Amino acid sequence: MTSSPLDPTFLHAFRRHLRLWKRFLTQSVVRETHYRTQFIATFVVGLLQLVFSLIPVLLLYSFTDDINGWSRGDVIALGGVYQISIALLWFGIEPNMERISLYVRQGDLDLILIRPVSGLFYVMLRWIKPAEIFMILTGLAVTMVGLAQGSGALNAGGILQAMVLVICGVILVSSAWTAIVMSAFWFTTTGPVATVVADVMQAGKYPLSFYPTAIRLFFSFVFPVGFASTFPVDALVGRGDWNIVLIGITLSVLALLLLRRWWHFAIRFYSSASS
Amino acid sequence: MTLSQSLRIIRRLVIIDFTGALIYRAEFVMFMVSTILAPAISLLVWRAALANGASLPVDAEYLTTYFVLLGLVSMLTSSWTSSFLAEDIRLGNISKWIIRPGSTHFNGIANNLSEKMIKSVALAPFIAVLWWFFRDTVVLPSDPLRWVLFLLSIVAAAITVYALDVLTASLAFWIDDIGGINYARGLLAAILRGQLLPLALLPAWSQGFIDIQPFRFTLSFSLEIVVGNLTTQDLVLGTTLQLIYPVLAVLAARALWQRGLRAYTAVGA
Repeated sequence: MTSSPLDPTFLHAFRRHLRLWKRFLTQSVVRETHYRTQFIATFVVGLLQLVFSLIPVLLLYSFTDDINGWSRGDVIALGGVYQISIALLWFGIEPNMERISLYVRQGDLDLILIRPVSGLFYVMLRWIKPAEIFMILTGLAVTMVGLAQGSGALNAGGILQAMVLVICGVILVSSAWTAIVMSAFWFTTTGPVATVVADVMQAGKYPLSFYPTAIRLFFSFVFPVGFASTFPVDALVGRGDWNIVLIGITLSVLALLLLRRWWHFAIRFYSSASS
Repeated sequence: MTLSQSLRIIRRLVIIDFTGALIYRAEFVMFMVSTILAPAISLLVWRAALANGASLPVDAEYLTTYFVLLGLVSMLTSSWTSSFLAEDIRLGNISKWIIRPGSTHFNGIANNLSEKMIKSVALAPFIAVLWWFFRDTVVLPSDPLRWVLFLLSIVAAAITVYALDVLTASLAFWIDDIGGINYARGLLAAILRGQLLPLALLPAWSQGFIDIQPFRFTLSFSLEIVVGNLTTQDLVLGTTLQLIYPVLAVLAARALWQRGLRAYTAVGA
């Protein structure tokens, strides 16, 4: 989103792209109504995944009451927050990730680059899966059930911290994911990347304190799934810290700037469909 | 067609598939990263529980050895044919196999074997790294009989899983989309075969059923042979069931497939 005749300032560019994203959303909702069974299937599948993901947690806590300061309720709440973050990623990011390597491989990127729109914005956010919204609601329900059983006291500051941290987590994970997928400019296909990312994300179902220090650092700063699950729950149960929120915001801005630079570097290696 | 003719066709198909699959070797490496991640995460979580004094029915050695070997055994006993076979049925692609002096299942078996060869090579370094990290708590039996039973069990489990895949795919003769059934089976199997966690950690009230249900013999039992403290009686009973289930699964898949073929009408026919 740079300065251009269409957008004299960053704010103009931001508003224009926001309007465009709203159009994408409207179009995806209309498209989804044509595939109602698929819509219901996505919801049922997500619900089943949520139920099955809680089974190991319930079994784990049938042998103990506390692991590294996390009670059963806290970890259930974490499962809910994780579900919200995953649903947000699957709502707006995941449908685009597999398409990026297709754009590059089949030369469709030509048609994106000549449009009066940020190429990075388009390849990252063009496609939306509205059915995932319902998974956010079920994630919220699980979070509330967990918090009701958990050890901490809920307060407005904690909720605000958690909301900001979830947004930071989604931005950070999206940026890391998109950056990896952009290796499509050098490799023929990045198809399995989505599978690997989904499996790495699984680590976010459990508190970072369950893992050794090196892995904690990896999930905090390299592939920062901790910002999408552990840190928000820490905030919700009263263990939050505004410094973490500040770090999250700083890292998110930094990640977006780096991603933008990475995008501009990567498209220099794009040789289009026919050249 | 005689057995030797069938085996010759499968051998040729394995070579073709193997050569084709080698083109995507980087993809296989990435898929193997994925295969090892879930057991590694589970291992760390359960070890954290143990370190916090959780009184589990199994010890650290059991858990560690189980999760270190899980990726390998899970890959060797897996099958991915059902969605492809169902699509071939739906689109009429099996017609070309029906008129050939072979079977579409030869192709599926060859694909399964050739990909597992490549996946074994791609997975080995990751297993080795995991092993090295937890080498102090990985304990394996020295009794050669256990290893013979382990290998036999993996082969039997792989046959069972493949036959269950064909059984599920055969439903495509009557149902357009078997995706939902496949997914539900996958979720159920993840718990009942010991993919998510060792079956020994499931509640005590479920153990009688868990011990004899077929999914145990598609993954968990193979691991229990080398990891667990199975008594001779458990081993005999388990091995008997391990050999019975593939026979039952193959017979069921064959019966449903043949009924399906009678109901089959190719696209455009």
